[in-house]
Amino acid sequence: MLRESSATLVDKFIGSLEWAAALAVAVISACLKADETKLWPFLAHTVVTIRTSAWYMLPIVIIVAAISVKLRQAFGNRRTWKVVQVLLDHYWQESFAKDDDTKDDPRHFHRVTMFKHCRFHFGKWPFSGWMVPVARSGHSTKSGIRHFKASLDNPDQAEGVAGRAFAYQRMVPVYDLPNLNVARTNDDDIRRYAEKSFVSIKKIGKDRTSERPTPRSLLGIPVEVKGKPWGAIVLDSHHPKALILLDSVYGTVAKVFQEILR
Amino acid sequence: MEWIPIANLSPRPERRNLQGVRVDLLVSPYDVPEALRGEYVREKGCFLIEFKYISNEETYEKPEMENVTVRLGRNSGRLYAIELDVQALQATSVELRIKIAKELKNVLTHLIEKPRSPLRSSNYSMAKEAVEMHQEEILQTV
Repeated sequence: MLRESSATLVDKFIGSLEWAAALAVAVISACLKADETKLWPFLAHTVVTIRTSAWYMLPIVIIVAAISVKLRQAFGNRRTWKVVQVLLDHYWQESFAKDDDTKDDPRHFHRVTMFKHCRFHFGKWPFSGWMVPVARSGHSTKSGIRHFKASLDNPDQAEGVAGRAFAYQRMVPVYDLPNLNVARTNDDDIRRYAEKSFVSIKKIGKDRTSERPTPRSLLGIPVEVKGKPWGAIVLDSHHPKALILLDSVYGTVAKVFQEILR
Repeated sequence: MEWIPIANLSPRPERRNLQGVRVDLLVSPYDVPEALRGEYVREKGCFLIEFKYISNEETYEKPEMENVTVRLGRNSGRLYAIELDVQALQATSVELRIKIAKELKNVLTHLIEKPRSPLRSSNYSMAKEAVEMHQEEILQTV
């Protein structure tokens, strides 16, 4: 799930949790001061029960509130990810919608995907670094995006152009990849594709089994925030020609990323 | 001093053989300066040249060579400024521009040959190319 969706879910859940925590603190505080002799019997019983358990309920509620703040920081504000989405769509527009070779193609034939480098990623082994997809241009092909290994201890084994761009802190262009989007391909083409795109043959095989289209050109661009490596952006296209960086457009996009990402 | 926009820098691809596959790696856009400016600060007796990038960060100063201090990015090691002690150059007003230009070239060559981090050698090369391209404009205040 990309960050905009997960941040929206987390925001809604944490919003509810924060309301519940605030309400709980208000109720507990009221019960501490209430005189149960002046209340209806059933209410008096509830007040006494809450008062006797206040010594552990209050700390629990405060800890839950603190954890929810941290969770929100970890997932990021949903508005941040909406801005990232707008920027990726803008970069897509400038890169592909104005190019004579690509402007008439379906949108999902050419994409801009943002990856964040995470040391650990839930459910993924080994715990030595992964490029995790966090945002993608457009509205389709947003689920099941591949994660790529990118160990800081072994940069030459980083997977994909995303992993290599992050590991080397250089742009990694790959083009003229064999066309695997046909009914029959030979093993040589698959092997060459795997080598040039820094992905295993097994993963290429999985993509073909799941009928996931494979791009024919890629460009990995490292992303930094305040001078620190943060992740990478990958442009991919069904067109085999080399993709190029649009300096002025990327410069503007990078400046905004610097202010909103952490 | 106004920033001088830098255009048409031509980063050379770095050809590498990665597990049998030949790949041309290109300089990161964060390493390419987008503007620079130079100023002769008479009160301090120094010439200061600064570089601007698409990102910024905290910097620190470090003496690099005799009479030269560089300002580098704390996280990236990127070159943000060079400060030359002009008085130490002991040049006449006629020779000053030539000496400053020569000293700048020496500092940048030294940085390229002995980079803080191997990841930054391309940044120093880009900075050197930018200085050479705009030398006349940078030294106008001298």
